Amino acid sequence: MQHLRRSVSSISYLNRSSLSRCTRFFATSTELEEKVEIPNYIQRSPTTILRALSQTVGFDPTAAHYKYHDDPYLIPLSNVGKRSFALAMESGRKSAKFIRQQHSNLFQHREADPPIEAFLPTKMYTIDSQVEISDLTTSIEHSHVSDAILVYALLKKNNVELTNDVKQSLLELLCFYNCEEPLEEDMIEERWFRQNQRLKERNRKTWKDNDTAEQLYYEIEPKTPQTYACIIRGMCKYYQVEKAYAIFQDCLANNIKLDVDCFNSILNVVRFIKESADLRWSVMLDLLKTMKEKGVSPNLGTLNACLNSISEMGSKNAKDYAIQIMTEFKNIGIEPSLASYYHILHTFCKDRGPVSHVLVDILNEIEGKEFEMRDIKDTMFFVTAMDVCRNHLYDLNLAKRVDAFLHFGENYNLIGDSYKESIYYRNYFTLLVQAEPFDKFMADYYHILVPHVYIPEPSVMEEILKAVEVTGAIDNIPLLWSHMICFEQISRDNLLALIVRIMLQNKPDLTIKTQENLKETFSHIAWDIWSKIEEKNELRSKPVVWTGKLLGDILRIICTSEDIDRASVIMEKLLNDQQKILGESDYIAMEDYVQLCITKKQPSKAIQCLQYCTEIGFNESKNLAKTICKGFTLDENHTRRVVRYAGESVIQEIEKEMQEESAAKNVTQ
Amino acid sequence: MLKIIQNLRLTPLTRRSVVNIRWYSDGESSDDEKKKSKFAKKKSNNALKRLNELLESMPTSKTSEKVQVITAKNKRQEAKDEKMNQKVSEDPTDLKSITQTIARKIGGNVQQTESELLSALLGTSFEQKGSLSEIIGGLKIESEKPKRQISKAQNVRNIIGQGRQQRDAQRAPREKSQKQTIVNLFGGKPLNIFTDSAVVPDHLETWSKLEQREMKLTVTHPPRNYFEKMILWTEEGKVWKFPIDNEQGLEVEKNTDFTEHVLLEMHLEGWCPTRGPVRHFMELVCVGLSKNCFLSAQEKRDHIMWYKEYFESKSEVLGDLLKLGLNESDQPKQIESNV
Repeated sequence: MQHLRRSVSSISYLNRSSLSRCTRFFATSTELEEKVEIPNYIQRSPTTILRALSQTVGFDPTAAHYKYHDDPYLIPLSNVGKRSFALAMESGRKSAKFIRQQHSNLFQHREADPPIEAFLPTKMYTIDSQVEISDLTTSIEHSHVSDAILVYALLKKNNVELTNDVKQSLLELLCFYNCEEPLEEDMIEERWFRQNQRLKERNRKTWKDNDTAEQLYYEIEPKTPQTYACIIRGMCKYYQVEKAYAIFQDCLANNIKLDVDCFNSILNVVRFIKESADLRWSVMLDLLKTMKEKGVSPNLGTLNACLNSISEMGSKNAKDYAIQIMTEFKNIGIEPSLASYYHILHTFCKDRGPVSHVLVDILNEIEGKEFEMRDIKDTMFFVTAMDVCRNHLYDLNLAKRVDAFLHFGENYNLIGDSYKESIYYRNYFTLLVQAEPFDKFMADYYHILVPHVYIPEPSVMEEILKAVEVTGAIDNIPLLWSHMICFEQISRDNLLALIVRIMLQNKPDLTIKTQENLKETFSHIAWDIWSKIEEKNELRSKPVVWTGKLLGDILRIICTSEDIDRASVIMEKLLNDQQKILGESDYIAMEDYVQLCITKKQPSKAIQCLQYCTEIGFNESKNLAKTICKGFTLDENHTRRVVRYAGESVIQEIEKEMQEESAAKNVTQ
Repeated sequence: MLKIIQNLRLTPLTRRSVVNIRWYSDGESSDDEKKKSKFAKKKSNNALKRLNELLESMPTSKTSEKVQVITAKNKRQEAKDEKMNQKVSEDPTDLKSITQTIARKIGGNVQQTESELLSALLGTSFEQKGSLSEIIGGLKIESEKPKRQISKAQNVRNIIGQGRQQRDAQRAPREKSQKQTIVNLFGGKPLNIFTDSAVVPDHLETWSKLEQREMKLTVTHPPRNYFEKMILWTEEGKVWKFPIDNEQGLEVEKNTDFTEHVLLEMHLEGWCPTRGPVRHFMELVCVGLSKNCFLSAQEKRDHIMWYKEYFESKSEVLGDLLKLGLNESDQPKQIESNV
């Protein structure tokens, strides 16, 4: 401390006041504490500073996802668009890679020193190439499965002796990927948008029998415990259960030490080993006891494997078993991961079973904790939890809790992929739109999440429109319609019918400020529906089939805004394309149209409508003819046409009525 | 009319539908009813005929006569039926009266508003704004279908709580009154098999590496901002990693001293003449190399050694040239000095 003070005072250019402040500081600090503790150097990873910086970038609901914002003009606004844009970008990257790989001789210059390995073309192997053991090890290291298989075959052909270690790691690679080439590491978008195929093939055997992996297994001599463990794990992973279980039992009989993951894989497929629930449970207990006997200590994988098997066991006692397992593992200090809770949900909330509120208890347990990936099925939790909220419990508050939990810390990483994310939001949105007040739903959720985070699928859009119909919040119709265009949902018959029905049944209230211009807007929307579909039908090979009802409704909406030109276009469509149009339109539409013709003084158009009515065969066409005759002063030509469509009797009736009327008038006079 | 219809089918299920019919035909004009009863009568005659035929065809021998066994009444079933009956007969009338009162309160065309309300409530697509009887006429036919046994009240309830309408209807009725039971996730009876856990590293190295990789890739989502992209690129080794160091990745250079880069003339010793054009040239080469930051020290040495070999292979030619040069070189010097 003394020498510090000396050094400070020796700096001559410090002015006096600051110097005195410094000395005072030193004086007081010596009084308070003697030791200055210098914190230890913290080892930072190369990405620490980047992570810190990345956390400063907030979430902006009005902005497109980062991957799309390179070209604002091309920001996609539909699910299909999002998918294809992102994949197109990746595809470009892929083709660049391909060119680099195919024509590596053209790229001789060294861009970087030291060279960046990720950009270098990989070594290509053919049947004739000269290979060494090092080629095999690098292929394994980079998990290039097909290369590894080829190199291994070449080495065998050249009678190169391989050590058992190399063979073992090759076996592990082949077993892990079932002799199939995995998706490359940097294909992030593809991984994100790929629909998880493993889910679909959940209960199917996909293990390749007698492929390289199995051959290699037979070749390795002498077999170590690792060899057995590896083949059992691989077979269980791809549901070749019979063989796996046979090898497993051989190992037990011959006292070969198996590891915990090996037991886990067998526990995971218990439902394929035995038929009935009770037998399955007893097999599981036996396996656990064997583990104890052999001195194998369980881990998280054991817990999840047990819970997974219980959830698909189909036993009445499944819930008790699950709780027992959870307690057992809690007692020995194994914290469940999200996958464990997913299995619990799966066990308790069966489609046909009674309602279970276990999700509440799970949330009480895990809320406010940050989870990280510990099991490959951890990503199933959120999508299942939201599904339970909507379809099982129908509980909005719970759904909100789940959503809050998802957005806690880094938990959003565990949402899975785009497919799971969209199902999650589909359930969440449907629940919100049904249970929240509509205005609140629009303000708090719709405007924030749509379209950049989530784009409602047609089914969700239908729910939203239904909510509009029930609440009468018709000022949202223009917005929803424009979104429907963006999201490419205008070829959905049910949505069109619904939106048209809403516009028809809810007359805008002119006294409300937000609805002042709605009448015009509705008419525009109706016209838009018409022109958009016509436009599409010209281009598409599979056109949308017009129904008479829809056209009639559109006609009615247009009639309310008294736009005779547009209305008559639709009327002509009705008249000329009768064969292509399904069904007939309502008579009311015809009446509205004729009234419009009368106000706009267009007798020939009105008579066209009469023609349509008679061709369709409306009973009321006579009345229509009367309305026409009364509404216009018809010239000879027109009268003749009216007679042709409606018959002589109409004119006579009208004349009679007129005479009666005038007679009545005369009487009163 | 009711009796006739009741005669037709006697199961409790159809009784429900009958009740529905009664409700709908309450407010109707007699026109529809007459048609209906005619139709029903015709049908009942047919049915009677058929029944008689069946009776005749039955075996009449005494042995086959059924012995009447007195059994206890199935009370539970009866109570259930009664309850259902009551429920159904109550609810729909309620609905109807409610819609009527609402329609009256609204005023205007009472009948039309009523029919609109009904159609909206029942969720069926009765777009036609016809009279109430039209809608009801349509419903009556449906209500006779024994296919789906949902009461109208249930139907209305479904529409009001739209959430699980379809699923519920198809599903066996759930105990909805079930109270929220708390599940203690860790409150079960433990199996008492294990006593402790220990973290044992996986002995399949490649497998565990692949598993880790797979899990990491599952949570690696498309980057959300530029920094995340940088993180990704850093991890893939595509960009320089922090902290920035312009000798990153040049591991060989870490162990070489700068003197090896700069002081190169010592490599000339032993082979290069101490004076003359070759020496002059090689000194220039050394200066150039010492300033070159793109070659490693070893490469610089190799470069010099290349010249060494070159000059040695050309030593004969050089020797001749140098001799000539020595003679001639005096002249330019002179000229120079002259200039």
